[in-house]
Amino acid sequence: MSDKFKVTCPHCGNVQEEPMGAISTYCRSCKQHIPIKGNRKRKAAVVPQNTRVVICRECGYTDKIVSHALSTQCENCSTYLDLRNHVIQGKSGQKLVTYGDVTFMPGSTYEGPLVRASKITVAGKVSAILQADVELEIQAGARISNPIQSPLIKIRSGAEVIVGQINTRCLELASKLRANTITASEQLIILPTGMLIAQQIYTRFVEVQPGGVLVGDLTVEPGEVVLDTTPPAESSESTEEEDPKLV
Amino acid sequence: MPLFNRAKPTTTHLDASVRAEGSLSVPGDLDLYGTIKGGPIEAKKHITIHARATASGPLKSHSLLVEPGGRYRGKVTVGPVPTDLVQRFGRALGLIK
Repeated sequence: MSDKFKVTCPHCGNVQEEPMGAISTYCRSCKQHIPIKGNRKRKAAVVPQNTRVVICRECGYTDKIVSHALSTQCENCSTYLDLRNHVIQGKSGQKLVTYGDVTFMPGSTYEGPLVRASKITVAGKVSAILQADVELEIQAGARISNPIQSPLIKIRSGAEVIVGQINTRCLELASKLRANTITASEQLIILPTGMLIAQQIYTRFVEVQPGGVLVGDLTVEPGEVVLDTTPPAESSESTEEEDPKLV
Repeated sequence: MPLFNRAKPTTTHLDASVRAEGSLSVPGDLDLYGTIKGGPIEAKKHITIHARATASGPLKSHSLLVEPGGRYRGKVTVGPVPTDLVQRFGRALGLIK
């Protein structure tokens, strides 16, 4: 079936083709406006499109983007915004900055300067600064050895994390974690399988469930724990200096 | 002055009016509503530092809960800590002299 139909201009009699969804047009001969009546049944289908809110990291401008868009440009500062989801398999080292999600599959190895995404899921070996805007989930088999930052960090059982610094609001730990400094501005929960050894721990609420381990210098204050939101310096240098010095 | 409660391995409540300084060791759970400074604070089972309670000094227990509004500052050793692990990493992190 043709997706066009013929319209006769009431002013000059010119016949021209228009899309099925058209409700008015202009005559290509006399340039007069032609309202198209009786074409309501053939109205073009309007597909409802889900949108997602994207906040530009450069200028803070909030915009609604069609959810399946792969990229866009900030309307305020014109920065290119990558909206794709990335799945990392095998060995990789490219810089990953996206507003979508990044998943490091089991067995993957990533060595890069920075990974920044909405949600980051790690089940492989990652040596990079990880910054997630929403959530960072570290799954069984994962090995992480660089600073991590996210409002919500979940470290599942079976992961191994040795980092210099963690900045988060909520940290849920079900695995081994060694760090120099941990700032959990809202809460720190150590599940029965969790083990946390850190030099300095700052939080407002801490719960160590039976079976969980916590060793370190702990400071719990009811006031606001200052969370360092500035992104860690991008560097591909060895993390040995940031990591706890092991004997 | 050390405080001991070895009578029964049950919960020890320290009321909000308590203002203590020194060590505290209880055989069961410890519910802290008041203030303890100095430490060490030790409970064989569970320690809860409730809202508006304050504690400082070394703390040792099997499990721990510091409620929002509670205050604590000091070195903690919570849970079944493997000795070799503490020796290895605790020394590296400066937690053990």
